[in-house]
Amino acid sequence: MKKTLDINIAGQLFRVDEDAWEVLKHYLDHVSARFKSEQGADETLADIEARIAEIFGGGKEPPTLVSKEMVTNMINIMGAPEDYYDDGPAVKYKKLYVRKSMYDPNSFSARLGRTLSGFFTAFGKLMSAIMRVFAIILGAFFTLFGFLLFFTFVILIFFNNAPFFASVMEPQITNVHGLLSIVLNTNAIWPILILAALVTLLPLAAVIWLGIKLIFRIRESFRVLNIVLFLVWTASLCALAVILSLQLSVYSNRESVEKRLTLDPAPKTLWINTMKKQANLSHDRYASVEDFRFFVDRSNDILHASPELRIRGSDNGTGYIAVQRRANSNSDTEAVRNARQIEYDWKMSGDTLYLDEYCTLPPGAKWNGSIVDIDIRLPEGTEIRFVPEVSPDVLNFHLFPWKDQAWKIVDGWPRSIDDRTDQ
Amino acid sequence: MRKGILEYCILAVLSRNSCYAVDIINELKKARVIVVEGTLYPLLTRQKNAGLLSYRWQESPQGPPRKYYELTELGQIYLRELDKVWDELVESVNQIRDRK
Repeated sequence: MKKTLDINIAGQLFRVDEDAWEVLKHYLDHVSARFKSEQGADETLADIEARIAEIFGGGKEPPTLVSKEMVTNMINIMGAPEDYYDDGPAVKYKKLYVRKSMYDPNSFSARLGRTLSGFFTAFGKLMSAIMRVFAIILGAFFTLFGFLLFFTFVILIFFNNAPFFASVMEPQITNVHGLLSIVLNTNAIWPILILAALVTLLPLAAVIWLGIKLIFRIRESFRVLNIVLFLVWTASLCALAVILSLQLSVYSNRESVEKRLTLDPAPKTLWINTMKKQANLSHDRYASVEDFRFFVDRSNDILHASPELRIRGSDNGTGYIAVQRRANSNSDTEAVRNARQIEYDWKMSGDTLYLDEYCTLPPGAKWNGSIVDIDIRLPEGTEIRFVPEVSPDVLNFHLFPWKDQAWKIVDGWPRSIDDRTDQ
Repeated sequence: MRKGILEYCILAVLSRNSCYAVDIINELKKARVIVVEGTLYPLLTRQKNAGLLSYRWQESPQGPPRKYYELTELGQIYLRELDKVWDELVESVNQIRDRK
């Protein structure tokens, strides 16, 4: 194994092979002797040293290892002192100019240092390799898992109306495309979906690409592509914002029309029955959001929606039934007109309240927040009974226990008195 | 004589731009005026000590700062004198060479 020396040339540290050092020392002695007697010799020598350091590729960490070949090459470039020019002083060289390091490569501490350095370098490389493999495996796993989830999500959200999925999945699962077709102009749906996909997927793809670059140390930079994709993303975001703003501006004003029937005296038992039934409704598309259900009759371009029933106690001995039709639009007047166009029938006959199980919007109208609220207030102790054929669920009447048919107003709230309750 | 011509060439190179020693070397090597780099450094020191050149330190992208040499006013006057001498010398030599 070759011995090495650490030396300082022009303020820069170099590690030199022993045989290279012999040649270099000889050369530097020679140069030093050549200029010793000249005015400004120190400056000349310093300049020559700086150039030698530059030729050796100084300033690196760890220090450059200088071989005998490198020294020979340097001498070929710089030339022997006697070749500099022919009328300089001819003086015998005598003194070493370079500053030699006090480092002793054979000392115990030097050997220990080299051993530990070698050990930890190898350990570091091993750990780095293990961590990289680990990162690749984890990255691949999560990427595959993520894509699997993503595609499942896309299929469920956008395509569950496809015959195969419809046959194997719960029909009430929300279908985004179906929902959007209820709310938005049909022509705007696919542009919105495509723009939304670009807005969400481009940053996701960028993050994935960044991860791949980090793991595989890819240094190439696709600046033009990056700029183009960023512009596409920005344009998509702006276009999406504009389209959504235009489409959703119909929700800016909300108005309602109400029809109220006072119950004086209120019946001891209020029976609830229904007229138009959801089960008999002709529709070819169905969607639900929380409690609301929408039925779309695409052949006639008619939209139906379920109403919402609320029952509470009244403050006095009388009661009332209030049916409120609500809708949104760009203006108050338009919102009132939309609310009045919601078709919903109900009537009171004796002690029985007849309600439609759905409301209907005019042909061609999109859902613009159209809701029918049925608000029933009854005195304390009044019983409310749904006829056996009617489930409270169809009217969005949701109080625990969910499936009960008979209730009684106690302390201002309906309490179940149904024998069927399996509490 | 060769040393004198070299000194003239160094001043001529520096008359265009301030230069780092390696730039001067490259130009002189390209013109085949010098073969080894070591020749340049004692000449630069000598010219600097004579007041013909000055230098400034400039940060380098690789390694320590570098000395950039430039002509002083005296150096420019001296160079103009050398130009004149050189032209006369070339003319005289050519006259002798061309006489048959």
